[in-house]
Amino acid sequence: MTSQATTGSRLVRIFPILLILPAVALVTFLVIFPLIWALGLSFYSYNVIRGGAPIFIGVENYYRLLNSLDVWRRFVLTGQFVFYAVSIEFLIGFGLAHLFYNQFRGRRLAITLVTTPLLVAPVAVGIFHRYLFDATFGIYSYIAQLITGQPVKILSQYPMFAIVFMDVWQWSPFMMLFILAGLEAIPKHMLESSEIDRLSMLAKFRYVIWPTIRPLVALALLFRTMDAFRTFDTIFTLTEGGPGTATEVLSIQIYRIAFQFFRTGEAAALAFIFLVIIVLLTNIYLRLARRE
Amino acid sequence: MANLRNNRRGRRKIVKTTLIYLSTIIAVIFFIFPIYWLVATSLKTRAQAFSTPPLFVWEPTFRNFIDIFLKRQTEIEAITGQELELATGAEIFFYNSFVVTFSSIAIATVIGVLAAYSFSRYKPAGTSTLMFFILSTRMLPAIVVAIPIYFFYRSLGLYNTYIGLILLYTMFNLPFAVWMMKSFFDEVPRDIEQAALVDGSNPVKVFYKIALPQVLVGLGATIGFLIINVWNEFLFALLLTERATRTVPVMIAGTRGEVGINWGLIAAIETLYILPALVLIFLLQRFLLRGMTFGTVRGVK
Amino acid sequence: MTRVEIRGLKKSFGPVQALRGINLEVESGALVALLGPTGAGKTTLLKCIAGVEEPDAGDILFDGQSVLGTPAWRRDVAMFFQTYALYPHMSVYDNIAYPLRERKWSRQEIDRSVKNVAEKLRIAHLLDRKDPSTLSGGEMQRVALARTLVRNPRIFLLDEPISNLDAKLREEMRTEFKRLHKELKQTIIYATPDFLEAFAIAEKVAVIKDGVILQYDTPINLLRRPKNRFVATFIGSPTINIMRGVVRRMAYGWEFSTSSLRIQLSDVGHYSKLLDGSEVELAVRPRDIVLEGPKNRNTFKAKVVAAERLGYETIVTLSLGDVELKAVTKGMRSYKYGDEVIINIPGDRVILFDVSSGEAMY
Ligand SMILES: Nc1ncnc2c1ncn2[C@@H]1O[C@H](COP(=O)(O)OP(=O)(O)OP(=O)(O)O)[C@@H](O)[C@H]1O
Ligand SMILES: [Mg+2]
Repeated sequence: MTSQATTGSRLVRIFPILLILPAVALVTFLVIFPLIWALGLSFYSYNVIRGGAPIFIGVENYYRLLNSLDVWRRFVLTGQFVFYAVSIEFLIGFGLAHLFYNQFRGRRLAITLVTTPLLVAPVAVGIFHRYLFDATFGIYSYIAQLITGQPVKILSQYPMFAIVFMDVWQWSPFMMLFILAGLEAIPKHMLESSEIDRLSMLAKFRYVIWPTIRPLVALALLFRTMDAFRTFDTIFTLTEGGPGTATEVLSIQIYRIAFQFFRTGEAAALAFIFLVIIVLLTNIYLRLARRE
Repeated sequence: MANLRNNRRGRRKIVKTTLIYLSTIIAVIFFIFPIYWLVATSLKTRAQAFSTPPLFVWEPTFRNFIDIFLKRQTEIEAITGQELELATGAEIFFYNSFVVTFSSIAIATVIGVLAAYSFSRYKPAGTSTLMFFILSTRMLPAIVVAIPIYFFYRSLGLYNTYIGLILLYTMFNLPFAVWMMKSFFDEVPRDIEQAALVDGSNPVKVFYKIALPQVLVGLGATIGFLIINVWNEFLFALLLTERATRTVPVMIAGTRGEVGINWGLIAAIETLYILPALVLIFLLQRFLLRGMTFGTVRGVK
Repeated sequence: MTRVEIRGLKKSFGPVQALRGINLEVESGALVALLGPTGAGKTTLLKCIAGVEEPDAGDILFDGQSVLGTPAWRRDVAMFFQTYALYPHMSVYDNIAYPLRERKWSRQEIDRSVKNVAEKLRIAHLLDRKDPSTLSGGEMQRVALARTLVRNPRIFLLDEPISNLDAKLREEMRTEFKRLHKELKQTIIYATPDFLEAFAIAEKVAVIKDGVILQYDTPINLLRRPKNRFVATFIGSPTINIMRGVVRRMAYGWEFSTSSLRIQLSDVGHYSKLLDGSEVELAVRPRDIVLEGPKNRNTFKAKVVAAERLGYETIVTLSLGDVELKAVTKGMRSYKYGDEVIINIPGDRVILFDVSSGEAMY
């Protein structure tokens, strides 16, 4: 009886831990450990191709990177891309959400079709937009030519437009889903009573709609901003950072330094700067969202 | 008078309905067009794909889909920029993608479901910290981890192996699986499990006889999203594979630069590649938002 | 047949102290009711006894042996959950059979027991239903009850088992519980927020509030000698009348007075704690007030404010100077607003409470 009892309670004690153990082990092995290792490496000068032992150089990598005009230009470039893409996605998503907040026949199907880009592989998106934007036989170029009356080489003339356009195509539905979820969370009786009170459209938005959808808008903007910062696959396959370095956002630059020039220590340092920026941004963002 | 007002209201309603449908059609065209054009191109011959102005009406051909697998090796190599093992077509990439996706999801699902259940039910010390950590891995840029992983894999002999890629994908999808499954387990009423305990089931039995059956639908949705995550992954596949283990996205990304590239064939490969996602999106509709938000927000009605 | 002892049981959920030191002894084979308002901690206490919640402090003993080390699935208790907690993915039959299957009963035995209990609870026709979530509230409750009663455990824990049934079925079930208890002679702990139900079923009732047992007594004592103001007001309908005043020691004994009435208290021996001139609350049950009775020392004139005629009896609201009282009288009586009536307040049936602590002063 007593021995049975103790095995029983022992099971209760260790069962939860047993369940989590594999997950923790894997995460430690493949995230924590590598991250620490990379942090260490960022204080060394190391080049795989050159080989030899890494040389400890302290914060020199960081110092050089933060003083490089080139790096700052990539920061600005990345910031521009994120800002354009996320704000346009927000506007389109906002409009679409209000459209689909109406009940009409075929609404379900329309939502499904509109959200399709979300799950399409980024690599496929990038490569195929190369075809769509192609200067001679791409249909987008053809449409641009119809509008402007002269041939437009979108990818070489307006590369920033191309990557923003592609991102907007893929991710606007994401904003739409969030805002629509927010709209649907507004209690029906609140909308009805605002109708009875004959609130103006603006007042209705300000006092009834906005307070409910705000947390979801904040979450959507956070997710989108962070994801846009990390964008790699689509831009890499569409423009490879080019022409020149016109679309070489930070993640592509890090990739280049690490795997094309093999300046590993420097790449690790830049990656950590990148990480710190993202963590800071997330924090500022969460704080702002909470204060509002 | 009243009639007139009714009329005006009726007219306004018609205008509104027309506007709604018009905007919906424009939106659907905007978001579906590239996918339609991709599929359309896959049904064009090389010459048709190169036509200017673009061809809207043509006689569809399935030649490209056959060529993916049967075309002589050198031509696939030329198109994709990949070296192939002897006597294979593009199917080797699909095979690799399939092996890696299937294995890593099987592992991630099992481990993830167990951990999620534990977090949801037992809330062991540090749960909220761990959950926050798990959420923050979503913000982690892949390129940051890619550098150390690349050198680890090279030195550990995991480079260019299935097991290496599988481990990695398992790890990267674990946070998602845990978070999402936790949100489903959180919805199972505690009383049901407590009733089973009183009825004589030990916690292990409660887990698989009572809790698990309640979240089967959520489990399906989670697996769906995991499939898409792994199937679409590019950066690590690019860094950690060579010809023996190369997956589809790397092959597709390799189709760059060459003049006179056969876009019809590329489109066919891409169509086949994104097909699973297209099927899943119809199955996962209800869970789309949950998957996108790491399970934190409920779906759209 | 198991004797249950609970000693100093404490349980908190974060900042909420659900149980703050519960002491309770349930004799082997007794049927005890756990009576308390919502949020009192009834469910928490039952879950601790069942072993699905782990108490922070204190001990639980079955037949003198601590069961804290025994996990729920080996404690051999059956519990009816207030939320029913039916297994949504199992048919009604499988729900009821579940505890027996977990105990590895034979197929025939299971079948016999399930059909038997279903018959008793009149849900035999529901046994084949696949999806218990489509049952009506009352049906779910009976299925859950069947799952609890299907086996023969050491203790039954029933958490508001009949609150969702209609009046008639509820009455039948009360009788059924009494009969079941007589037959099985099982220890039963029965939680309910309804004092009538508790009184109808149990030999002893524990009144619980804010995680503390206020009084553990027989129904008659709870009614006649409540330990404090809360027990007095929680039990009885209409609610006991309470008025505030001062007590004085007189030649003949104690006298209670407000600005408009004086009541002479008999039974002097009771009030040992009383201080001359102190402020107290006096409580008198509406059923103890006599309308139109023979004159005595405590006869007063009162005005009718309202009357509710309930068939067998009439509840009259009276105003007596600055106090308002309710009284119950037999039969259908028609009083009009403003009617003057004579009432007797029996001096030996009143209860006095300390104003600040609310404790009864016997
Ligand atoms: N799992 C829990 N988490 C947090 N608080 C809880 C939990 N369970 C119970 N409580 C709190 O403990 C207190 C007692 O709850 P309990 O369910 O035991 O009351 P009860 O007497 O059963 O009430 P009712 O008659 O409404 O069922 C309540 O304040 C409740 O909010
Ligand atoms: Mg309760």
